[in-house]
Amino acid sequence: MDFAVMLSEQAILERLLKKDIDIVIVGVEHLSHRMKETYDLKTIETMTDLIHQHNKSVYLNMNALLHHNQLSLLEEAFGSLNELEIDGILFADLAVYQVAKRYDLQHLLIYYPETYLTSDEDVRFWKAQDIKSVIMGRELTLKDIESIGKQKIMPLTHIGHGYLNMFHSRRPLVENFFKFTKDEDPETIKDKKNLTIVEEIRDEAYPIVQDSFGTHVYRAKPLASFNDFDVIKTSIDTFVIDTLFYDEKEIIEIIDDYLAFNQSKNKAIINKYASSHDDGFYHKKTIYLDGKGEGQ
Amino acid sequence: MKKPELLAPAGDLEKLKIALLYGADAVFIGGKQFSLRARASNFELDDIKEAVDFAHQLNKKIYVTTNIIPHSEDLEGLIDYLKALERINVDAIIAASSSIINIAKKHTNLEIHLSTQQSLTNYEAVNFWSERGAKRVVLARELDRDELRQLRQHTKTDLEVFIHGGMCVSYSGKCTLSNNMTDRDSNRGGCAHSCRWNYDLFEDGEKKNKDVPFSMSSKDLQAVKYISSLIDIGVDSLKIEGRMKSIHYIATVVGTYRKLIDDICDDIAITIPKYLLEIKKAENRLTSHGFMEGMTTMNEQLYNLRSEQPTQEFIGLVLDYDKATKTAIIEQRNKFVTGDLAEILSPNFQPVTFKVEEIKDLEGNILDDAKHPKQQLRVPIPFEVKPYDMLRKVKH
Repeated sequence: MDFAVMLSEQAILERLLKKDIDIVIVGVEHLSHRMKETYDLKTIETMTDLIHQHNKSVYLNMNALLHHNQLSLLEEAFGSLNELEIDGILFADLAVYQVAKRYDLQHLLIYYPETYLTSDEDVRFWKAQDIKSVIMGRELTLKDIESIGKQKIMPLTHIGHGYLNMFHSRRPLVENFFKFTKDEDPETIKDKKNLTIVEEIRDEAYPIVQDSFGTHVYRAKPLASFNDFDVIKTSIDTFVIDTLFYDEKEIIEIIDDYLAFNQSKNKAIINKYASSHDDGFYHKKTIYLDGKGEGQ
Repeated sequence: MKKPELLAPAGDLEKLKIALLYGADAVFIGGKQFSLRARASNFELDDIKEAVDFAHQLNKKIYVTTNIIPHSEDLEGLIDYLKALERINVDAIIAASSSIINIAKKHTNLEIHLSTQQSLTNYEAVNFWSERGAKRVVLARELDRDELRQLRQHTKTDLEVFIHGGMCVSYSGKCTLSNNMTDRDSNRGGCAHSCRWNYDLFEDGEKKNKDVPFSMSSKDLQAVKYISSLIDIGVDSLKIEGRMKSIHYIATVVGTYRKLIDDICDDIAITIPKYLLEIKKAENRLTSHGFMEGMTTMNEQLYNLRSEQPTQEFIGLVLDYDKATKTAIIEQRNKFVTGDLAEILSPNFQPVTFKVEEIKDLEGNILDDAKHPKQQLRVPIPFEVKPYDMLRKVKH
């Protein structure tokens, strides 16, 4: 299993490259959602050279949902990709597939739709599209992941650690709310990255971020996979650490912990993350309301 | 000018018949399986067959939603279900999952419409699904008219656009608020509408909203003003949302859009307030234009839970009419009394008002009021009405 890390900021790159990770995932200006930093193609070219010098792979995160005004940027990016020697591209919008196919680069693609890939049949569909890998829906249980992984239909990538988003609206919801209430200056508060929302009968604080793509709401606790690492390791091919909301020290610590845990299971590491993180949907089966009753 | 299809929702057979009789060209329904909002649907396969037969007699169409995003174990029974839909002769399925689309293509010749759950926002994505067998795509509700126009120019695929009803505030199909907050899978029929709940907003632990709770809830879509523009763009189908809505709501909203589309295509001068006034007779939620004019503002959001009251109340459904005695048999739907001013809503003529002069039960007893739900009553009406016409109380 390969280890991949989302690059949070350029300043941390050299430290990442000293670690025994395999892949660095880089945000692309205008084409990446939910990355702390994104980069223009020139900067990515420089980063790619550096990452390759360390015998690691470079993936681009092009997971934005694209409206028409972004399609020319997408074409421009693909026009440069052959020179950049990128090793993989995460994507959510099918426009990326269409453009990649025109450039004969679909073999680099890793489909990352967050919610749409939930069955072995979905994986077969995407294998037939001749792409590199897929990232399964984040609401799957460990049993689901294991069952699909066992079939070895195609390489599976998995976001195994980090704050996962659970909501994305195109609407500027923070700004609009404060324009309505005038409780705060909407222009100031809309760009803040330290906002949370708490539902009136619940205690969890969900991070909420407004950016140029709209409004994003994240799970209250980040996902950690130490408890279930044995199953994950045998089921998937690439394990991704999403670094959004973590500072440099925390990122390095998380990477070190996974690399150490991969060598030998360590109860102390599990305990370290027990209260601040959770295991997402690994052991929580969501309810399917199929019209025959209150769930099956 | 190409006249677009008017597509309406139906949660049961009665609503379906009302929608078709009041002017829908097609109706979308959900079966008991593989459909989001399955609890809003009462269509067993036998009901779907009756729906198809009824619609086809009128040269209209039935689309069946199979729009969940299934997990592997949910796919059991899908092939048989799709084959049954094909045998019944449904006109299309509406699907969002690559699994369901793939299986439908492999085992049936069903026409496939791609659900809005895929949130398609550009022509490249539309063409992806078109190349993989989708005859039509239901576009994301986040598109403005300029984007729709661009899309139309770059694809030959049939385009379906929402014009009325509730809207996800999230990109559809991308939201797992319900999964996380209630363990109910929003992409498998369990959406708990967590986006419509009340929240407090904090900055580093300090509460920032004061008197009004933070809310992400949106007003419902109402696109009366934009129908002309959507027809001009070349949209193929105009869709009304709301499988759980009442027959009065469906009759009013469908009837209004039917008239509006016909008037535009027949080059009759239209007065927007006239159509808006008609819709308000049944609309019980605040509405906005959604993304029709571009990025949403605070005016498209719902910051308190205030609802609108319909300006008129649905009081009875016509079951029969005796021309000799000029008396209708109606089924009571809301309380009314002798002396009330009522209006007949009909797919056959514009609303006409009359005074309720007398109410009798079927045994001939004179009643002061009609207060028992679904009771059959005799009410004199001075002009001919037909089954499925509706009575509504005119508020002074």
